[in-house]
Amino acid sequence: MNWILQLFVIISFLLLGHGIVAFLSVPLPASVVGMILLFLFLLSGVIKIEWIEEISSFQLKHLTLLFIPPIATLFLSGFLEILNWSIILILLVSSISCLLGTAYTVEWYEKQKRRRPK
Amino acid sequence: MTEFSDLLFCLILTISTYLLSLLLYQKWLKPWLNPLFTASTLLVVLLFLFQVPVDTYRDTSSLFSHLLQLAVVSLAVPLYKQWGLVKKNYKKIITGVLAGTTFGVLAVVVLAHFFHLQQQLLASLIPRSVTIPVALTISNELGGINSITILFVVISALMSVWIGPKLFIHLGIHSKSAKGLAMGTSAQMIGANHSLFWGEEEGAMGSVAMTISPLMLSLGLPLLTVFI
Repeated sequence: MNWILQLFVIISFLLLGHGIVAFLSVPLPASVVGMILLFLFLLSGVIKIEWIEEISSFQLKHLTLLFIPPIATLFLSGFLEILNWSIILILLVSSISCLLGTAYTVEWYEKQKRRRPK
Repeated sequence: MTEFSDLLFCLILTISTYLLSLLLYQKWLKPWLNPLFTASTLLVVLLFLFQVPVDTYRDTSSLFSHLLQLAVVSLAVPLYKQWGLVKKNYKKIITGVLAGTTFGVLAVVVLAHFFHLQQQLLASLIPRSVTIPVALTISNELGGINSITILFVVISALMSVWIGPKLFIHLGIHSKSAKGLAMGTSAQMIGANHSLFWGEEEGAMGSVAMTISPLMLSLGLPLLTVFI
């Protein structure tokens, strides 16, 4: 399928996500709802992976580009004053706790599983 | 309203800084040349040099935020491709993401009380690990401030992708799932994107983590109000 049609499929799912969030007041962003829906459609086989594969891998390959503008805007808009050392420390410790909390739990789980295979 | 020529200028400036950073990264493949850092820094310097007003650039930025929403929808594809892996490991995924999210929030709450932080700041700090739209919803429920919440989410994601890979090497964490899940749980999309560089399994785990961690935090919201 050509790129325009592929993009059209993705856009439809985003709009569907917006519609659902507006009507059902789901506590999730529209884009995540759209993603879950697209995933379910792929899983049920209604949408074939080949229909959207090219456009989605192109988008994800260049995902970094999309993060750059909001980061630059933040740095330009002067909110950074609020970042005193206690806030920075909290963000740092919390990030490390979250990263290691997840990683060690997963490794511990994998070790448990290996010890007694089902 | 920003003029079209200004918008086009910002657009070209943004895309060219990105392509340049990507080229530099592909040439030398040094972790510190991560395009996210080099391009952002370069862009801020250039915008400053060309004296582009913040509001003009903000309009350009909102164009990109629409594309970002589309990219989130596209994350369904790696998730679908790795679904077998995810289904086989769902217990591990839920345990890991739940543990990481809990540790992250606990660290915030304990330290915030230690530093006697204002409630508004604490409320803006709690959702720091989840993707921005959900973080805003949660922060509003708890009485946080929008712009500050966004700042905290971005800064902590940047910290996570900067420290995470170093921590994993030094502490000998080699499990692909552990790395991907940790990055997705702590740095949402930015982390999931980073783990995609490592490989398919890491990338899939990263996108799963960034999808279910906001779900968990939203579900845990009633519990969180106790801390505020």
